[in-house]
Amino acid sequence: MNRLTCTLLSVLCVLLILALPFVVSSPNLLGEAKWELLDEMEDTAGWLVTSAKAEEELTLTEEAPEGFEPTEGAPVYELPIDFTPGCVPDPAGFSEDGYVDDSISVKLETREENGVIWRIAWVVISSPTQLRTATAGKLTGSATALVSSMAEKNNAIVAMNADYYSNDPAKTTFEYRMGQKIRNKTNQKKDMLLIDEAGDFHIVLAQQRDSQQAELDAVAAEHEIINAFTFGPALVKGGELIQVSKDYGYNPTGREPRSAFGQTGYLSYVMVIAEGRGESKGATHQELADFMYSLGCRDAFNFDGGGSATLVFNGEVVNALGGSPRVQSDIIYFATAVPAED
Amino acid sequence: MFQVWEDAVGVSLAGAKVYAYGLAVALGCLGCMALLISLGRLKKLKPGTVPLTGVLGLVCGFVLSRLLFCLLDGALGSPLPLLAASWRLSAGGYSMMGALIGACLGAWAAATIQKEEPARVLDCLAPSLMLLVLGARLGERYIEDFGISRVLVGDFLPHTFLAVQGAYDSYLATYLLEAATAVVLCLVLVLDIKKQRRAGNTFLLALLLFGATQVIWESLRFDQHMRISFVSLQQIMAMMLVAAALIVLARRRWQTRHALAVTALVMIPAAVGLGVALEFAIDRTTVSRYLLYAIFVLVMAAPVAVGCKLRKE
Repeated sequence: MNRLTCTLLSVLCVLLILALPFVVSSPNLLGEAKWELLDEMEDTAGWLVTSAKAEEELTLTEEAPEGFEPTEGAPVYELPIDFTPGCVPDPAGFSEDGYVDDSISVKLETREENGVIWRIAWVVISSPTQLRTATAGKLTGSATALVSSMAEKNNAIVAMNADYYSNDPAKTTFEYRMGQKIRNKTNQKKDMLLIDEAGDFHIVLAQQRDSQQAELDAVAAEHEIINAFTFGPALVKGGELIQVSKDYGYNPTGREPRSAFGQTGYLSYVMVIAEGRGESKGATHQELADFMYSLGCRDAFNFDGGGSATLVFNGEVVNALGGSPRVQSDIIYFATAVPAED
Repeated sequence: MFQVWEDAVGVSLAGAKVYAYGLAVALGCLGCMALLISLGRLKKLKPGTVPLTGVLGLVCGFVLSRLLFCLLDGALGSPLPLLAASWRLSAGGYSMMGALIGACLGAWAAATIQKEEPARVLDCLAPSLMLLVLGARLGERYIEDFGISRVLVGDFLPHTFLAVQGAYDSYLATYLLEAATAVVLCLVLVLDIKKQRRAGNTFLLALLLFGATQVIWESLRFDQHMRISFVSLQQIMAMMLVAAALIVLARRRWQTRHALAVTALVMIPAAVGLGVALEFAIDRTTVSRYLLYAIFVLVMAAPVAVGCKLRKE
């Protein structure tokens, strides 16, 4: 090779290297690019679901839900529909097995039935804005954190793991957090849980794309979707116990730690963990469904179990974990809406 | 002056975006070329081999890095939309293993064109590429939620310089560990190339050492880069580097050191099986992570030791 060619090659080499800082942005897909590509992908639902806008930080309403009896004359506060943490709870409101103030009542219970230890958190709130979700990082990011860490930072009175949406390999899921869309794809194999602006559950079962989209359309036409999850299986729907398919996934007939979230009435909920892989033998999906039905759930949904099943109360993990603490991308939690006194 | 665009730090220069990560990679490439020139002179490569290796290595490395990421990253569930958008370079998405394999392919092509023995060129390239790895790993500091481990629990590590603080928890800065490893490997390989007579031996040592260390570091990483669920595809590729080196060495020594060659081949599935078991234990059990990773180091050290023995003339 002659000298001129060597020189030209060397110059070309340097130019290629100098171009790298302008071209190589990140070893990972950047968040905005990920949003764009997700939107461009096939199977995106053709309709738009309006994201709920953040409301004024504190507003007074006069309504109170059935089953909740705030102090007479006390106002009902609301929290904004965004990712700001809940109000700081009143330390005086905590007891060994729960928390009470003018906006929320949480009662913890432990039951042992047929070798399974069940951890239950009964929650009644005065405003649907107190049912919240938090993510470990950006919505399209891959950040993870401990459930207890996220719960503490968001002033959660009680919190549990959700569906670890960032870990889903297929990404054909329908996910909203605090009114923000993450993905709105249909999924023929997994059930979905939608929570609307009134805090009510809507369960959409796994089915053919067109019929599932029609159901999602129907919910979106009448409600604003605040939070939505794709995991399942659905355990109770419309007051009816579901016979869970043995083909669903997530080891449906095996005895595993399980987590479930149910609605028992207007602004009344229950968070449940079935402990397993230790002193407690764990539960199958059907046993979990039966249990949620027995608690009076009109709708109930299975979330990520195994090592992910985590219930946190006042910053402490309540259940025996099925392994070392597992990080999550997001949590569901309840917060008080009563602002702390200065 | 510095601003964060989405997840990456950069600076505006005459209307163009200059990314900190890309700058770090570029500096790594400059270091790589400088060392390659020096080693090329040491090993008396033909004139023109080094610049041709540089150009072809850069092009092939860039293309393969991008292609492998688009094919294997699970960020969108399916590779098709990523492949269709592979030309949108500023969207991000590159594979370190792809870059290194591409650079080696470029070097092989350059050697063929120059009628040079490819093994000699690869020997010179191996330590040089460690400087590219160093630059890229240090550049990961400027990418949000990247190059970090699972959440750190306990009292000691979260308060050391090896930890980074997230919004909620502390994480191990695995990019620092990988950068330090790259420096050490570079030094080891430079010392080795000065001693070695047989062409290809330094490159095989690089495959063994880099592959084995990357298996451990990829296990520590927890940033969803090129992962499908809990499986790191770059960890699998790293193990394949070790396996490839052991197979070549075993084949070379099949007649003269038969028992050791057989041991090397048996160690491949053994290391893979033990590695999978350790990954399961790390993810699912409460056994001390320090203990599990100490065992992991021993599991990977064994095939490396056998490979080094086979390498000796």
